[in-house]
Amino acid sequence: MNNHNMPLLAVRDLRTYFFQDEGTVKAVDGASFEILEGQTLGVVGESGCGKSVTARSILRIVEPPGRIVAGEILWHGADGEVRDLVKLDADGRVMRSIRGREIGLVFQEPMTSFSPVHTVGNQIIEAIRLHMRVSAAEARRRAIEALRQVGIPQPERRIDDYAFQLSGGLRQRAMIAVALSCDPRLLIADEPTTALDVTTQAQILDLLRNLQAQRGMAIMLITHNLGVVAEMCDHVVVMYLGQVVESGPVDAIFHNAKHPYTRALLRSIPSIESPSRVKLHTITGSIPHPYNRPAGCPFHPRCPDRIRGVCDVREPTLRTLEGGQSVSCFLYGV
Amino acid sequence: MLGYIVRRLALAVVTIIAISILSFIIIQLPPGDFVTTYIATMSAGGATVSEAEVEALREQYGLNQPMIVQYLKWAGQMLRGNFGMAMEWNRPVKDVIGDRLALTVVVSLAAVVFTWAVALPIGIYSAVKRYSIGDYIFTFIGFIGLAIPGFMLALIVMYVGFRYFNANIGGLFSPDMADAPWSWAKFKDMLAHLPIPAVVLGLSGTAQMIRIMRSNLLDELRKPYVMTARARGLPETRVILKYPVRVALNPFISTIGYLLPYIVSGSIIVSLVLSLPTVGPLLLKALIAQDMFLAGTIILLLGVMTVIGTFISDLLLMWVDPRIRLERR
Amino acid sequence: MVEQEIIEETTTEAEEKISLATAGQLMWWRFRKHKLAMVSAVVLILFYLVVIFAPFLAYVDPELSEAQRSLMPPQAIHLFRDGRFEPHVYAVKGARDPKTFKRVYVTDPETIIPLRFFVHGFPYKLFGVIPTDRHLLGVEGVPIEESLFIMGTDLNGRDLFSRLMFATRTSLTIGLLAVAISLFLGVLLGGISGYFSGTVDIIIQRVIEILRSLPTIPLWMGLAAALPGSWSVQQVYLAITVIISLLGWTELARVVRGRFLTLREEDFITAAELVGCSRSRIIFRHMVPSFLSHIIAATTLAIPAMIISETSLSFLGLGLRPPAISWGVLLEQAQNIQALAISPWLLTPVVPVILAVLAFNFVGDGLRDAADPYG
Repeated sequence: MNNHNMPLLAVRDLRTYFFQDEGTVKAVDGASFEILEGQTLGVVGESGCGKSVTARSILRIVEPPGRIVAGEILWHGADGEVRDLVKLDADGRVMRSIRGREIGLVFQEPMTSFSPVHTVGNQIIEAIRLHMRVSAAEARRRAIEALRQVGIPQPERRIDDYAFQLSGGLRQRAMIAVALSCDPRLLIADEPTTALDVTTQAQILDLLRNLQAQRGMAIMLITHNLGVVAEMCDHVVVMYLGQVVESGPVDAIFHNAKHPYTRALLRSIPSIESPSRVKLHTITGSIPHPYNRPAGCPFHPRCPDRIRGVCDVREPTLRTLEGGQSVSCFLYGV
Repeated sequence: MLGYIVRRLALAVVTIIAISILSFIIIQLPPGDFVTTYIATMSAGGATVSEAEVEALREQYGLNQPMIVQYLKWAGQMLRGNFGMAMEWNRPVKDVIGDRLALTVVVSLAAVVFTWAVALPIGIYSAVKRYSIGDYIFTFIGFIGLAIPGFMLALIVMYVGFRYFNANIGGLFSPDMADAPWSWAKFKDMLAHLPIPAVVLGLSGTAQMIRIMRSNLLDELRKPYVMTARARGLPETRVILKYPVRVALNPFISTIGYLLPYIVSGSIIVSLVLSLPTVGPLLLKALIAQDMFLAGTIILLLGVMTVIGTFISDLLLMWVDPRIRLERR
Repeated sequence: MVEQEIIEETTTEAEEKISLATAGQLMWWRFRKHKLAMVSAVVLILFYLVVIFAPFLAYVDPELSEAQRSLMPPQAIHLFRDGRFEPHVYAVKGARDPKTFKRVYVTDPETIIPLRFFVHGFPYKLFGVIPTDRHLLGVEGVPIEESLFIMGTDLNGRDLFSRLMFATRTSLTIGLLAVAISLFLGVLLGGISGYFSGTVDIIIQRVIEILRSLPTIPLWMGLAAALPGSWSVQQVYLAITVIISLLGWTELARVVRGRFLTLREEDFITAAELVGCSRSRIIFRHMVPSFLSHIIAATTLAIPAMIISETSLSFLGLGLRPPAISWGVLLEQAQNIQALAISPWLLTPVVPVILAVLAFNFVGDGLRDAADPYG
């Protein structure tokens, strides 16, 4: 059954709020996007725009006082069934078998993402034995193989090391090994290279690309680095204050960005070709305080193209334009 | 790892020396020296002391020589197992202390076990189910433990037992077992009597432990590795118990080191109130009677016991925390 | 080029206030949010009012003993008479039970003794300077020592309530004094250790470790017992204070050292050094305000330990001794279980101890949270 038209993951109007004493933070406030099988989706935005919370919402590991209040997360399971992850019990068997097995997660900080008192091998083997019915010996063999696949030298020895005994690059590879140990169909990578130096960054990105080609796995790459997006992704989603403001194929976004925020982001990348002695472009203003969201379009206070009376009053919705691009902006219609 | 052991051992030895110096100072503080007091007590009891004996004693304890020499001679005697004479009883100190020291160890250990067995689960529960009713109740009980020092709790417990149950809760043995030689039956009798002293002694330490465990665990729960464990699909209980609890245990274990002196300390007064045949009541009597050899020896032995306990807990920590085991290669 | 209009940053009023507030104000606002800590702070203020006004609140001379009034139970205070608010007590007479020959006390409901406020009583000096003889409570017409026993009497026939007032004064001031000495030692040694590092730090740290691993009570007992019996009450008082604080400064030193170590790495200190500030200026003008709040919190939390130490020592008879009065001294009479069973009111001093310890702990916790909500 080839369901290539059926996206692997479809997020529709997801809203995740954090209910705190001082007020409610609408971390994700109406995000919609899709990932197809084998595709690499980039999720881009400044810190605090809700990218990580989106990833956690998909995996249903949002921590209290946070909660998904609305929306759907449609996951096309390996058994062919499509389930709405929002409706599943977060700690139930079904969700837990999807989490870690069908969807893997790689975190930003490899040092603190490993338990300091358990060996790396212990944590990989635990994942393997949890999701697959294999013996301890077989699990260990698979773990060593996973470490080898991510390019860790001498995996039979490294498997018994603790996280603090590995270098930064090796740690991140080990993290990827853990996430891939059960052969997931979607890998969510939350800022996987932000904590690494540039050379290691390039190596890790190469690794991810190779692994994807080998396994046909989809990747959701969350980053604030537009360079990484250009290099790795087929599709891009741009988020601002918890909403998707633009999405589309990578070429369209980079060469033909529609949303004023996307354009401002792209403009602010310093280029080697720009004339010297010219001030760097910045986006005026700053991100509003989470308790102080502006009315209407969330970006309008900083937008150079805002329309008085429209953008500060009503909220735009995501509209699909030609070429597969979608924008949430009144400049392109009501 | 070896370096760690050697360092802790060296520290332990230095601490013991420090305690011995302090004990020696305590022994020497009251006016007059040991021999004059000895003669006075003997004469008061009607016995006589010959000149030869006096000279021998003076020689043995180096009383005509500077303090340092006296200290060294005394320390030498101690190492050989000669703890001197207890004046009130006119018997060697060793006999008077008897098995009281061992019993002090037993009671203190029982209190430590109680503290751990109670504080650990409650601490974990309080951290995971923060702000729940259970958390508030346990925090409240914890505060009671914190506010009521051991001996007061002992007083209250004794009073309640006496007044409402017409029972004398104190003591470590039933009246018929108290002076009997050691046997399996006596051991069982002691175990039966242990709970109340253990609880009374351990309660205030428990309160502290709960707070430490709770705050450590709360810190750990926020860390990324907990979220990664969840993201791997582990059931929630396993996520909590296998990872953050395990990490939060480390500072917990390293605090046994300081729990022990606290409990041994508290046991002194609690034993008094509860009439336990441990070293506490003996120490008090010795101090009131100005029997400084007995008192000093007891203080020294208590200190040594505590240091040994702390050293063992250091070893325990090393065994439990791989970072210590591996980092010093 | 599209016209760029700059929208003014609208900060809310609350944000304005926060950015302009001093550290002290911030701390106070955060402290205020802790209901428990606020209540406890009130309790502490009440306690220290008792400390200041102890003689005023007591109605009999705490030393006045009378065998005839030994171990009297607490009296019931009746507030209303014939529907009017007229607090009064009934007279109590001692008698000997003909069968057991034990002393019993009989209340005589016929004899009514009205209570009066702000009456004349035994003379004292208010605040230590103003001679007066006014007291809060008293009776009219009859000698007060024979009539009023709010909390009963002790073995020697001394009124427990009046003694408790003076005991509160002593116990709470020793606590403060001991903590002051510990604070001085702790800040000095902890500061040297944390700021200068190196060998000095290692030595001081080892010393602290050694002291922490000693069982305190046996050592205190030993030192206290060694005090010559001939010393006056005040000298013993001071000696006990010093003894307690000698072993208690280690905790404060640890906190101070920890703070210094973290502060040294802070960028704003490096900035001050780069600007050329002198060492003492850095310490006093930049570092100290940063950790002051932590020190205050740690100090407050150290007081209950001091109070309990003194109470324990005096309870054993090794700390303060009569004629000094403290909570521990009062509780010493409660050691005998048989006597306690007959006269449970001897245990009442336990209550202020528990209350004071709890109050200090809650306030200390509140201060600590207010000083560093993430710490």
